[in-house]
Amino acid sequence: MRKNNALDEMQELELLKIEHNGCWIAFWGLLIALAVQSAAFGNTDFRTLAGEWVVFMVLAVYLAVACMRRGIWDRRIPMNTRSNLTLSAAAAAALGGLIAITVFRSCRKLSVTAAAALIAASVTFGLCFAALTLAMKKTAKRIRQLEEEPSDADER
Amino acid sequence: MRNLKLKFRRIELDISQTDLAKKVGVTRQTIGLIEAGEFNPSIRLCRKICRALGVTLNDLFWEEEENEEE
Repeated sequence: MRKNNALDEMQELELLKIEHNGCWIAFWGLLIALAVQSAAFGNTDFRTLAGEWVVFMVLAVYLAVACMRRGIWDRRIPMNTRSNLTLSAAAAAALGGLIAITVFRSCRKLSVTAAAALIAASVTFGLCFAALTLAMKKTAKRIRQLEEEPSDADER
Repeated sequence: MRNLKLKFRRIELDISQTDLAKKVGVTRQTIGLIEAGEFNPSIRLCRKICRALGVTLNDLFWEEEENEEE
């Protein structure tokens, strides 16, 4: 425990829980705010969304890199290709839907809307799957490194 | 502060960190960090470790007051 900490152990754990909840509220709140601004209000000007995007991406990259460095994947989602396919499909469906709403609001043509949504969903699926596969390989490699039995001299 | 009592007991029983970790259901890294004094385990995990090594909590985790870290 660090010095000059005014909290006891129980309070420290409670604060960590509060910070954990706050982190995920910020993450999903920013994502929902970006989606609502783009789809519901038709705001596609990147300059007006740049602030939210930067904060969201910094948060997402920090969480991903910190977990990979410590060999942590997820509490419940197993680390395998099937999970990656499912998550990529969910992301593709969500972004495809968002793009469909945004495009339909501006042009009102079903064929254009369907094509745009399909392209966006395909690209999202491909990128998400590639990113998840890369992250899975990096995490698995890190877990192997961390689980290697050290010699008695440098054990930790 | 390093937990040398845990490390010595484990070596005494000729159990690797990996084997002890498997017995108590944690990662090897966790056992390594407990021995290095960089992670304070819960009482529940302490009990599991003690049972796996056939000792009591006092044997592995008790510190005299003058050795206790603030």
